[in-house]
Amino acid sequence: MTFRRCFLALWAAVSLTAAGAGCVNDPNAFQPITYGARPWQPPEGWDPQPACPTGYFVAIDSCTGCSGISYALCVGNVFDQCVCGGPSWPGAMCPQQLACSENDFPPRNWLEFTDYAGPGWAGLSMMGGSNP
Amino acid sequence: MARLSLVLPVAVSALLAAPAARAADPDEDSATESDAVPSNEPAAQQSKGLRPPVLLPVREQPPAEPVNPWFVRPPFTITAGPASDWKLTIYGFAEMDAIHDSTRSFNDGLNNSVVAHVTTQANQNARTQFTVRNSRFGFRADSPRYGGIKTAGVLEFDLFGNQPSINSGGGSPGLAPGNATTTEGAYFNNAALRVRHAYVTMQDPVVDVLAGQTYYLLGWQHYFFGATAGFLGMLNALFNRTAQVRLSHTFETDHLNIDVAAGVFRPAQRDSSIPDAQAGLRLVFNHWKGISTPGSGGTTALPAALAVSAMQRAFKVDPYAPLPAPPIRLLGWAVAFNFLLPIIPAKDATDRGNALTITGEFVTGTGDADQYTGMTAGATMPNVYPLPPDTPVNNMGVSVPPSPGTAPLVGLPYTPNVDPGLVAFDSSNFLHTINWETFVIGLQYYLPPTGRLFISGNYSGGYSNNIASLFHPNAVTQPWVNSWNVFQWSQYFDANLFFDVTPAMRVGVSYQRVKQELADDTTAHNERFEMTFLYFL
Repeated sequence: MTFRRCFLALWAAVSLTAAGAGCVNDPNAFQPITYGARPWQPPEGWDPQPACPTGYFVAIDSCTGCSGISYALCVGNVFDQCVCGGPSWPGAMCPQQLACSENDFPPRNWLEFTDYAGPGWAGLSMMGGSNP
Repeated sequence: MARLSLVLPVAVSALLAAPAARAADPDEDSATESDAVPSNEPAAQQSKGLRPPVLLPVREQPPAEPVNPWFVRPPFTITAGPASDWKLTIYGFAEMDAIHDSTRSFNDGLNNSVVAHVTTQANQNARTQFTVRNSRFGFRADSPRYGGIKTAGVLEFDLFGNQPSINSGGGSPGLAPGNATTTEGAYFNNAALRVRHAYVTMQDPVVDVLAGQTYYLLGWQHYFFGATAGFLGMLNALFNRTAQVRLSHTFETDHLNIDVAAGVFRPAQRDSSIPDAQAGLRLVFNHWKGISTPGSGGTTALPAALAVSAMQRAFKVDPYAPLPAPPIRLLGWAVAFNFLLPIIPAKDATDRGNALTITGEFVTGTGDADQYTGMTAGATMPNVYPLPPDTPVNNMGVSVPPSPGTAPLVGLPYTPNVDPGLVAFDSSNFLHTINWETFVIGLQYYLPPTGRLFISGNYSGGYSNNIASLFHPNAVTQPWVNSWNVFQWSQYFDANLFFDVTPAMRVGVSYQRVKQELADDTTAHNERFEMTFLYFL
């Protein structure tokens, strides 16, 4: 009987785990696009053109918890994630018109989106401009 | 979802209410026409030692007084040792199929492939194929008990081995015209060997262990398969095999056996780094037996059974973005309900005249498409990274030359680390598991007086409530999406007639109809006529 109880308990545990799996996949769960990425809301007036593809960034200064240059990341065709600047990597380039310090570089293998100098762009604040 | 959810409960309720008289004689089965391995153990010993929840390929010895001795076919067994208790059994069948399709959508197996879109050349023209690729053979080795443990090993092969693709002609799904890497002749005439089963079993009174490749536990395959001349797996029906380690035990009583089993299985995505888990419970009503033919061979008498089984698995998919990046973690799962009910029961496997059996299955799950044969539903993964800004694309999302005479821009290659059909990125690059709900219901009736002539019919359906949104025709930012090649709803019906020419030879004819609703909301269908010839070893 002990064996039977153990076996039934094992089966029940496995089947309950399997049944419970359906409750685990949260359709709204955040899926970071690179290491350290977090959700980001663009500021008012943010309007890079044309529509962006995944893999492109715009330098910003408004990613929560970051100092220096941070990066808005295009996911799908909208900028809705951001990441702090990081160390340089082979082939890394500082965003155009900006001067990067040691930990201001974009995430590995990401490319800079076409010239954008509107609201939200890091250059507006770094170069003394207004940044709403 | 709702339309599918209603089908099975209604069907089961109707059947359970049907007055099904039970067979008066609880004799042992004596399956004689089988693609399954015969066993030479005495029937009484088999009933104790070879009745694991995993339906091993065992053909039981014929009863001492079979109802119809005409069906009795002895196994091909070689014995060795002083007590002749080392045994090797050879089994299998030679099969030839002649197939005519109303479209050019399929190879010899339907395999849950996508029916060609109505606007294509492939949809508007027919195809005829002759094939022997469903032939198979196998070996089962049995050794005597040592320390109370009985061990066995099975190796089984068929001719569906990996082969280069053939030209599917006129834009059939899955292969562009002209991309053939071998000829039709070589594909069919030089069929390659494929392993079906390769496993060992250890059985003792406490627990049965199975290690190796055989059917998945989900759906308690192959106990509940319907009878059809079409190649298994039937559309929308659980059917697949993989490597696994499974523990099982049968709690036996005279009238009712309770089978429990659980195991770890080859992960659908090896990069998940976690094996799949499956478990199941089956109730077997020992004295209520019906005749069942899983597929086109292996006719036997099986007790009525009800079963539930479940699966859980993990995914860790590389994001559709520059790497390195954290893999996206998702869970897949499935729950299956199955039944086999002898409406007109039989005494043993030779008691086939006027036997009527119904089988059924209902499955709901997500990220579980690999549990169905060849089912990706056309849900491909990206093969390139997103295109640069301003890339001109056509209305299919395919990059086109920016100006006449120039080459189209293409993205850098993206290598998905998961098989197609299980997960998909939406237009926001958010990864989803693909949901499926499926059902199958099948009837098989063995005509009086002997049951040498029998008929069967199967009806199945499968529906995904999220695949069409993931492969939407307006997904122009996703260059890999082709909604013409993705189905969201699949419906299958077949009708079959079989005749046993001799105890070892069976012929059959079949009509099979597939209708699918594609992701662009158009429908397409294929009609298949098939004739099959089988000789059982």
